[in-house]
Amino acid sequence: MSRALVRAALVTAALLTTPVAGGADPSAQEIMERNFLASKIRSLRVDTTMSLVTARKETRERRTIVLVKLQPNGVDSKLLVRFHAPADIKGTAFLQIEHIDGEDDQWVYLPALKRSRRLVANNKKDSFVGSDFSYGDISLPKVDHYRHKLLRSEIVDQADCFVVESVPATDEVRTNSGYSRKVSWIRKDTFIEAKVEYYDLAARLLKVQQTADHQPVQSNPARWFPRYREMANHQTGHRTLIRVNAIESGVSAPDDQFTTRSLERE
Amino acid sequence: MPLSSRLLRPFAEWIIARRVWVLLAVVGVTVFLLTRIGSLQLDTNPDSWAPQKHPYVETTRLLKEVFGGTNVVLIGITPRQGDIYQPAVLAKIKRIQERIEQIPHAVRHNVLSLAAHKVKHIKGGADGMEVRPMLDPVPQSPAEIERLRAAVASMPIYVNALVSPDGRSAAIIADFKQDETIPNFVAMLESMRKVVEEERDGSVDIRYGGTPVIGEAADLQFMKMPIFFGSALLVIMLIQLWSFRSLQGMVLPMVTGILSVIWGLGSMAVLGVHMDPLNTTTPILVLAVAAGHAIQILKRYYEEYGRLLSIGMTPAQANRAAVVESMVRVGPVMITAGLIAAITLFSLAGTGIPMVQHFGVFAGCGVLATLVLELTVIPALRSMLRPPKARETANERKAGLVDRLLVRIADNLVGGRAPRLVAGGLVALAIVGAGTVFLRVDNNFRLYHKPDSVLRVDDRILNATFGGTNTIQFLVQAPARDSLKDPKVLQGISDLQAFLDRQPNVGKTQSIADLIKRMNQAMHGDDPAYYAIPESRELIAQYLFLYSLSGDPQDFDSLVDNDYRRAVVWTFFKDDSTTYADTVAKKAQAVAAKSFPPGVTVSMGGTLPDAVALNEVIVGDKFRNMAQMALVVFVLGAIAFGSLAGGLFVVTPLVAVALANFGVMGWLGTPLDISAMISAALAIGIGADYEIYLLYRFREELARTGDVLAATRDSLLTSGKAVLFVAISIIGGYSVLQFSDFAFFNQISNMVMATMAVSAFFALFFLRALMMIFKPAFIFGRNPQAFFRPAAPATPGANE
Repeated sequence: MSRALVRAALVTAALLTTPVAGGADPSAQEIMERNFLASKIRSLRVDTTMSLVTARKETRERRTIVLVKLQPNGVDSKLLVRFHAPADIKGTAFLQIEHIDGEDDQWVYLPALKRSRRLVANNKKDSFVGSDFSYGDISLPKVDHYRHKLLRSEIVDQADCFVVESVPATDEVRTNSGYSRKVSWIRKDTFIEAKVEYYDLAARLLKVQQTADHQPVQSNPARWFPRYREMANHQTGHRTLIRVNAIESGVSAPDDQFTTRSLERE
Repeated sequence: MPLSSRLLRPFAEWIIARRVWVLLAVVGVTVFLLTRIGSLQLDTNPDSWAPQKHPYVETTRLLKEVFGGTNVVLIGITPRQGDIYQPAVLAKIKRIQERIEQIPHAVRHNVLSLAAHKVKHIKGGADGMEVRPMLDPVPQSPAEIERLRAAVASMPIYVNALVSPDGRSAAIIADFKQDETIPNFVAMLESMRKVVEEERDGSVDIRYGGTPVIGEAADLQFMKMPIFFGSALLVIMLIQLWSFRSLQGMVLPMVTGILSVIWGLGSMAVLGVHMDPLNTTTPILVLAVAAGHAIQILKRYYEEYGRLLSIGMTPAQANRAAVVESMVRVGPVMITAGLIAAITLFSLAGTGIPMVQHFGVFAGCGVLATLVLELTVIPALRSMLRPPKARETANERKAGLVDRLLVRIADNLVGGRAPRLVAGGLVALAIVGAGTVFLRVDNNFRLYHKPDSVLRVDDRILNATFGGTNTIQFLVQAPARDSLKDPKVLQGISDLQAFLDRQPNVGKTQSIADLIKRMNQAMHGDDPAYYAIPESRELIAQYLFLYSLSGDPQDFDSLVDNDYRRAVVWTFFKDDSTTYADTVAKKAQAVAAKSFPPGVTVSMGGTLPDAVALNEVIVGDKFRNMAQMALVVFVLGAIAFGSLAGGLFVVTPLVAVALANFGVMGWLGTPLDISAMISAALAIGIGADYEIYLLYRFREELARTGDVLAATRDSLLTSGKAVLFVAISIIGGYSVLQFSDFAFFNQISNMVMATMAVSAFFALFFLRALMMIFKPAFIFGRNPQAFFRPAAPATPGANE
């Protein structure tokens, strides 16, 4: 990471925190909009290890290379996940083209079948590639799908955070997300979520997401990316940990990388 | 005077001198133990039945650890009109599913119904498979309903398991963990019943089945035990009243009995051990044993009291002296008999079944409590009470029908009829004992309930509707991680299922192989020809990956572990006979040995296999344990009488009782099950006592009179009469269990009554006859013939 990028990131962070430091807290809606935008990075290539841990602490690991590119609308991304381990799914790849106002397009490539297949649109509450994250947890929904309320400020992992409660604005959002409520701890410096609690439709705590080791990855606008992300399902005891092994931002990601033909290139 | 008597006299005098303190101490201990009894809980955790080192039980433990509980309940929902494909019925199923999932001890990932999030429709399409929860949301329109019907039909894994083949009934299969703090089935199912019963209305029939439901029904019966205990107490007291014809005679043995029970139960509570089904009848056993000893001492007390009065003592003097004398005379015999029983019962602690271990320890503790109480509180109390009135003593000593009968027997025994009695006894025993040929072992807990009970009616209907209410889990274990993605292993599972599916009474099997086959079919446009295991391991792994793109990480948790090293084949049986389950399991092992590649092992577990394991222990270990217990009794008896023949005399009733009991069970077709343990323990606890009391008394009377006939008459009229009353008391006490509509209790009652009758017969007649024939040296000395003189005239009751 270049020094310039780090400096730029820090400047932006300082700018972002200025209103907070000045004493007037942004509104809950504003906080969540900034949080939404904080995840939008122009392009990124991330080498990750995804660990699926059962309640009995048995672990399965998947090694992936993820390529992300923000689309011109500045909101939707294209996402390519290619699996490198374990051996029996090596070469398997998943492609998602987000559409904020409609269903996302998804394809999967299975090397054993030697062709990519389109997936019928998943529900936002479905598990993301067999992890404890749902598709809705990975690609954040529109901010106005929820009604937000600033509860308080709190320190999480030595970072000052806004604590925002978000309740689905409509029954449809509630049903589609599978959540009756979310409580997010949004860092005041980066607007990235440090922690999120998800409550199921019976208002019981379902999952808790935590992030750590936030790394600046883009300046102007400044963006950070957590090198560690964990989602723990409190009802099943199952957890998914995503650790970043290497991260590269501003990578060349031509659109033809996000096609089914590219998907089939193992 | 033997050493034990020399020690007992000063001890008895010491107790009488400090009787108030003794009473206060006993009251203090009793009050303390009584306050602890409230914390006793009924524990019907199957783990306490199961022999922990048996391979089936070990597999069950592993299954619980890896896949959750094994307490599977089947809840059947049948609409009174139409089939289950109605929005209102489906909504009911969904509500029940969601609310059972919220029960803290429900194994959430093993709660399955059409409404479970993990019960998904794997659908084929142009681009492969689509995976969707089956009932999310609940369909409303006729078109949606038809889609659901087609979806269910396309998933063979759920047909006959979650939906009946005719679509008329739906099932919710729920699995629960045993709550360690309240380990009984009533508590386990309480929340579930509350949730489900709220959905019961005029539109649906709801039925429950499965091992925990059978356990729950049994627990409810076990909880009625205090009523039976109270009734038994009443019956025993009435028999005592008839026997002693005095209020004190009725009350004192009961004081010992009740205090022994309180001490035994209180000790259980103090030690933190729960009450279990086998121990629910222990209080009656302890009561009976205690009453047995108390009656022997009390009878002797009346004898001594009468004798001492006749030599000129005042009633008050005679009372205290009779307390000491009866203790000195009977105390050593009671201690010998009690210790033999206690040590033998404690030897049950060596069995592999925790429930039997607890039973042995607590029955043993109860017997020891009896000894302590009979040597402390009873003499103290007796010495404080007013001496018996002349009328009471006369009543007690009045010769009745029983006395006349006993004298006649004594005359016959001595008068040369002994060989005939022995021959008759042997023939009867041989006829009864021949029944053992037909003895079969089976622990079919369902059959303890009446055929028209709700439990059995529901069970019959559920078994006719679905795959079955009883489950066996076959655990397939492979050597390495991801081995279960190997087509050969999956094919092995599939072959094992195919074999099991062909067996009568096996209604359904489920495994991960079913889902893999369905995925393969879906990826080939739902072509039924592809409902098969794919040939490539990578393809299987990638199907599973594809599934995971819309499934949840825990979707397969009830079928395969995280490492794909262990899988379960769920097998649903329509019958809970352990014999049948074991037969199928053994055949399945042979099939498994041929079907799987090297290194893959198949074992079985679950509640039904646990019962099979228990059977093996009952058959194998029980006979070994009984032999071991008989040996202990023989050795202790031989030591007590200083003679091997003495040991033989003491152990003979046990062998006869065991033979008679099993013979009767064989003739009646009653399967040998865990309740048989109780009769064995009782035979040991009391059967040997009878013989010990009679032998000692005979020896004492022979030494006193030097006359065989007089000794025979006197011993029969004193100890023998007490034996008869004890036997009648216990038979009367246990007869109240005949009024239970729970066959487990009826069976125990039958066996105990038979045991008492046979023990009493053997002690009073058969062994006395043997004694006359063989004239053992430990009784008659080296020159037995010296005792056999012509009979002198005697009248009943003239033995003092």
